[in-house]
Amino acid sequence: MNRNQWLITGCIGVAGIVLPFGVDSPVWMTVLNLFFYYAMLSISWNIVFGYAGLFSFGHVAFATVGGYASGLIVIHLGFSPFWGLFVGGVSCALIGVVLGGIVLRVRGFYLCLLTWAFAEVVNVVIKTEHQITGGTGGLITPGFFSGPQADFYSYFVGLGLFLLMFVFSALLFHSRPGLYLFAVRDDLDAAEAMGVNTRLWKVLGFACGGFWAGVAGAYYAHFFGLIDPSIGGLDEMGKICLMVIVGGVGTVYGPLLGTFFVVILSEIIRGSLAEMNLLIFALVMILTMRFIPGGFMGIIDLLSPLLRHRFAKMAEKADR
Amino acid sequence: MECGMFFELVVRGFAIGLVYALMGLGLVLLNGVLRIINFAHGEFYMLGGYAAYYLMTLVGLPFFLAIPGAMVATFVIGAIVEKLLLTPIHEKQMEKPMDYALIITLGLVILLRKLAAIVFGPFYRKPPDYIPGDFLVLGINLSGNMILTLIASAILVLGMAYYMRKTWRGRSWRAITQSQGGAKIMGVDISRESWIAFGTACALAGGAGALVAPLFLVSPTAGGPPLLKSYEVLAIGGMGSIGGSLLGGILLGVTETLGAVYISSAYKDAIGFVFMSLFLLFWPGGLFGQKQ
Repeated sequence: MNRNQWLITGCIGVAGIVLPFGVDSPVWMTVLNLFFYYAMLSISWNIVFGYAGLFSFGHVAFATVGGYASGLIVIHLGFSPFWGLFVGGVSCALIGVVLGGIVLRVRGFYLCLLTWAFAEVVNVVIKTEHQITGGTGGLITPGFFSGPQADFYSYFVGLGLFLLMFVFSALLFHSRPGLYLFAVRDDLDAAEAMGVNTRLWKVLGFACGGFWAGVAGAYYAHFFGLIDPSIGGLDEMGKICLMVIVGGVGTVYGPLLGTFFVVILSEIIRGSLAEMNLLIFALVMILTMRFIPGGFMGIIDLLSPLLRHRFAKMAEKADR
Repeated sequence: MECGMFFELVVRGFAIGLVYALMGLGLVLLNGVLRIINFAHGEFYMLGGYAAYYLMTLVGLPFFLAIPGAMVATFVIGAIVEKLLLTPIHEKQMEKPMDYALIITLGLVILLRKLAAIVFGPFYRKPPDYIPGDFLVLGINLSGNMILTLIASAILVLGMAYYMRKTWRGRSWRAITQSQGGAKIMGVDISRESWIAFGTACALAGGAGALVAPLFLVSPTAGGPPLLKSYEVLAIGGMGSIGGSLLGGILLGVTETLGAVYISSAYKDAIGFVFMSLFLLFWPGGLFGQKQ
């Protein structure tokens, strides 16, 4: 990570700390927490798809599993919800290792089908075993804190997790393991020829994404106090895809920008166009993919040399 | 009685399996000619059902015109989608056409579902029975719709197989499947064949949707289950094989119908998925597929 990126992370952190004191309405508090949840999911999906090139369609299933694992452990064993976060993440990482070990032998579209199958099986199991999981009605989970200020404190838990996740993703981008993942994504055969253990790095990338998705799911469960199977549905996966695509696949800031765009925009248009919400997003996703495959980050990359050029000229003029 | 019910279930499963085979056939076509995967295949099934419903209730066409009408409508929609969204796959040198198509069609799934919910309303719709009443065939009680589904989908699958073998266009599609460059050299217009193939695949899905509309009803999310089933057919029968998709579809249809009655129906879909996963992992060619 270079200096600029630490600077930006710091700015986001400070803004995040200041924001809840300025924003008073509980609605926007919930929106911000949703933003953290989706940002964590999209950043972790970006690690799986954007960095390692594995089109995993079962990413939201990891969040579901993490949420339920954490919720059940807190309810039945009486752990603190903070341990629940950890347990949710670790259980998903373990599932990621096992599933990845089996599934990552196949490439491309087959992988997509198999991960999708995993997501559907998770959904069916949760809906059917309703005496344990509460079925479609959902599982009521205890929150992080109790009392009137609970949401306010929980917000900082979300902020902390989100920043941790972001820094992790940025560090990974600039590290040697990150390079291995890119090699696996860009050309599997070439990577193998260069001596990269592609199987290992695929599984690690997959499990890593799974871990953070599990943490995100556990956070969701304990913040909202309710988790139901709908967070593992196809619509949710579409949303995550959209955020990453609109922001820019395989970039550090892309998922962040995409999530910001989607969550905030969906809150703004909620009043008048609630019905059209997902419709508009699907349209945006298709158009982005068709015309600007790089997303927001693609536009920024395209514009920044032009702007730099312009500024350099202006500086030259000012000097003269 | 037990035996009669068993046979009735088998015939029923056979009919549904043929519908799955019809869906799987479209995917075989797409996988061969465009080398992409269409996530929105089930949405065209849904659109076909709606087209048949509106052609029968609003326009008042008889069923033997409404079903071909639904197929023409889905053909046109599919061709437009291909022309607008999927042309970069064969016109530009794309790094990862499969990922591109996956994301575009995933967007299309959500778009078409929400659009259908807004335009047609989020209710279940049922077109009038195509052939009302039950018939006693060889001691088995079958509804007229079921018989029509059985016959019509069999004709469509066999007709498609004949078309792929005997006509110039069918041969050129098989040529593209084998080698895109080779087909181009022999004078096949790839971009034209692509939209026609995509439209045909969509028309097959639409036809399937129109045929079973009175049995399973139509709703904006009706495309979900058949989409899953068509991929299971593809995995079981093998990619790129018409015979495979036919056999896979019938196998799936019969086991599913029998399983729903004799085993618990709650885990029915999960069992199908596990089957698909096992096939993909340990027998990736499927029953009839070529080695990849």
